[in-house]
Amino acid sequence: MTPRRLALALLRLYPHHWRERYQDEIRALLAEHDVRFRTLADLVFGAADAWLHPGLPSGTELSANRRARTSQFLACCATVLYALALLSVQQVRDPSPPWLAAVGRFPAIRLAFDAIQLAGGLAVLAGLGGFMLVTIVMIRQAGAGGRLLLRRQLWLAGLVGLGWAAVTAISYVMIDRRPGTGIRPLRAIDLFLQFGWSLDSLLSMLAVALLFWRALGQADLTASIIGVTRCTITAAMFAMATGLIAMLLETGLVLSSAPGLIGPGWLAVIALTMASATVLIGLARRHADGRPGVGAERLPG
Amino acid sequence: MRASESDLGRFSDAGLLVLASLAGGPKHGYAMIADIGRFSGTALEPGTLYGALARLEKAGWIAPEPAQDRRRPYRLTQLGESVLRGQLATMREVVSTGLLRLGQAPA
Repeated sequence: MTPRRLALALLRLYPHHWRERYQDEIRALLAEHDVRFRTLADLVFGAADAWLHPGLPSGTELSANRRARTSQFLACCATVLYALALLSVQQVRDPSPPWLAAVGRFPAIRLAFDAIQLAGGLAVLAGLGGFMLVTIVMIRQAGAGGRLLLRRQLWLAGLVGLGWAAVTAISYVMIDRRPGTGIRPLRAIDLFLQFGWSLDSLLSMLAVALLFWRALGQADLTASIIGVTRCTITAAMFAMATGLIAMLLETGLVLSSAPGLIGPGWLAVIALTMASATVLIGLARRHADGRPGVGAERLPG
Repeated sequence: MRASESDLGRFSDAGLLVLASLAGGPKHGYAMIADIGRFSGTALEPGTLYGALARLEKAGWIAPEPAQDRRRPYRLTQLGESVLRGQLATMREVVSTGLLRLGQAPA
C-alpha cells in the first residue's frame, strides 16, 4: 500500500460527522500533498482530536442520545480489548528459562534481555494509555447528557468494571502452572486476591470517570444521583490515585522481579491488541453512524 | 484575549498561520499549506490544518465558500480580521520589546 493510499485509509478513523464535512476536501488535498510518515502520524492525531472534541466541526454537534450510544459501544470495545489482551498474555509461554540460561553462560546477553523487558513494560504502559484514551472519549462524549444519561453511564462503568474483574480472575486461573514453570500452584486465596485487585481497578476506573464529571462541574449532580456526599467522591479520587500508583508499582515489580511475564511474546500480544482495536473502532464508528436517533424517546436530548 | 480565543488550544499557532494566510484572500487547503510554507517556513500537515480550520470556523473567524470541484475555499470574516489584527499587534509589541532588550532597533 502506498503512503497516499494509507493516508486515505486513515481518514476512516475520523468520526462520521467529521468525514461528512471535510473528507472530500482532505482527499483533494492529499491528492496534491507530498505524503510522508509525519503526514500519516498527523492524520492519526487529528482523528483522535476529532473524537475527543465531538462539538467540531461547527453545526454537526451530536445529540446526547447519539453520544450515549457511541459512548456505550466504545466502552464495550474497551472491555473487549482489555479482555483480549489479558487472555492473550496468559497464552504467552514463559521465555525466561532459556534466556536466563543463556545469560548465565554469556553475561553480555543480559543487556538484550533487559531491553526486551523494558520494551515489554513500555508496551504495557502504552496499552493502559490506549485504554484510558477510550475511557476519556467515552466520558467526554457523555458529558453533555442529563441525569438519566449520567446514571446510565454509572451503571455502564460498573458493568465494565465487573467484567474487567471477572476476566482478570479467569485469566489468572489459565496461567500455566505445570511443575518447572516457576509459577506456584493456584490457591483459593490467590483467586480471591486477584478478584479484589480487579475490584480496586474498578474503583479506580469509576474515580477516573468521576474526575471528569467533576471537571465538568457535575460533582454535586453525581453525588446526588448515587446518594453519596462530596466527601465520598473525594475518597473515590484517592482510590483512583492509589489504583494508578498500584498499576505503576505492579509494572515495576514485573519488570524487576518477574521477568517471565514480560518477553518477546508481548509483541504478539500488542499486535493482536492493535489489530483488535482497529476492527473494534471501525465497528464502533459504523454503529454510531448507522442508526442515529434510535432510542430518542428514552433519553434526554 | 477573549475566552473563545483560548479555545484553539494546541491549534493556536496553526490557527494564527491560517488567519494570516487568509488575510491575503480566500484559499483552499492545499493553497493554504503552500502559502504558509512560503511566508513562515512551517510545513502544516492536513490533520493539523483541518483541526485548526474546524475551530476557526466554529469561532466564526473564517467561513467556507462554495466548493469548487472537491476543493472548498475559506475566507476571513470581519470578526476573524479583527482578531488577527489584535494578535499581530500583540506580537509586534513582543518583537519590538525583545529586539530593544537585545540592543537592536525594531525595523
